[in-house]
Amino acid sequence: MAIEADFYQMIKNHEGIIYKITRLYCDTYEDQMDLYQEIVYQLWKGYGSFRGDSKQSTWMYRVALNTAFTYLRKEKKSGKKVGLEHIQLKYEIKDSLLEERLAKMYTQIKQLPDIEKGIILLLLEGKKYEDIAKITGFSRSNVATRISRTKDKLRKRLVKK
Amino acid sequence: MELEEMQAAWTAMSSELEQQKLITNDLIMKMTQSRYKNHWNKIALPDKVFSVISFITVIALLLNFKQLDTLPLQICGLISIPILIILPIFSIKTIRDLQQLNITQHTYKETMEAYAKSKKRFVNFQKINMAMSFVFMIVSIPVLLKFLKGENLFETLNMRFIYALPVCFLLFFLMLRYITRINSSMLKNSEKILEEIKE
Repeated sequence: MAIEADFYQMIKNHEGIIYKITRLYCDTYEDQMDLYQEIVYQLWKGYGSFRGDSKQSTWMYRVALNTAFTYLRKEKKSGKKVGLEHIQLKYEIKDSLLEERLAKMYTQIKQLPDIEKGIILLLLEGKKYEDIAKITGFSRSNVATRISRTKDKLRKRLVKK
Repeated sequence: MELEEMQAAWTAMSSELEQQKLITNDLIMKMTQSRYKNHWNKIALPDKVFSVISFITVIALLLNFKQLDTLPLQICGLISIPILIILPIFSIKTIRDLQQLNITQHTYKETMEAYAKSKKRFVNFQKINMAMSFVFMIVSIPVLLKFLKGENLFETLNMRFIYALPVCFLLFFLMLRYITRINSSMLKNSEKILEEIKE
């Protein structure tokens, strides 16, 4: 029971992170909720074997990103999901101006390749290059190169517009 | 939007979300339980049904092997048996490889690599699968005819079989073209992922 309580607490502490990741990887609310549930499930599945070698949040980002990457690819092919309980979580950004900026931002990040998408998300989450390297498995210098390349890409797109 | 502007928007969103505590213990429990059932069903059904049918067919073939009373029929029977054993094993293994990526232990890079590689393995398996299925389609016709109708196709080569053969080839060709098309886009995607990782 203690492990369950710890797990529930971990999800509650980081529910915003899961939402932000799902919004980045999905286009519709339905897909987003579907991925949200899948991430929670994968975290639950791996929670018992999480040995605390890394920080809990590092592990959580890793599982969430891995799930987003693999699950969407598999699910797109397998079609409609049967027997799933449809859970709804309505996170709201009340400031409409902010929501507009967020929509624009998400559109831009979604156009990036998967690796850069994940790295930029972690950067926006305020992670240091070392942490991003630990979560993604790329070297620190590779992370730095990718970030600078992505910055250039974003700038170029801005100029084009 | 430049990265600095994104950062500001992201931070503002994070603090808004921080105040919204929507998830409850009950919801978390529902999510894990509903997913668990769904995953179990997905793994269990298609692979298992295919394997069970194949293995039952092997047993039936072995039990009735005596009915295959001429050398060509026996050769057809002997070719069918290993195909019926190997195909489901291969199929289960490649699908399991894809399903059992260690999402909770691997890094993002490792997961992407493993995913792309298992997709490539899957494509290779599809090629072997197609070749074996074609061989099976040919050798199983005389065996089935013998078991179901007691007819030895090699002795009573009739017009029906002569008409059926090109139809079989045509169906096989159409299926091959369809699968090759799917596979080539799958391969391209896998290659793209692997290239992205190397950059």
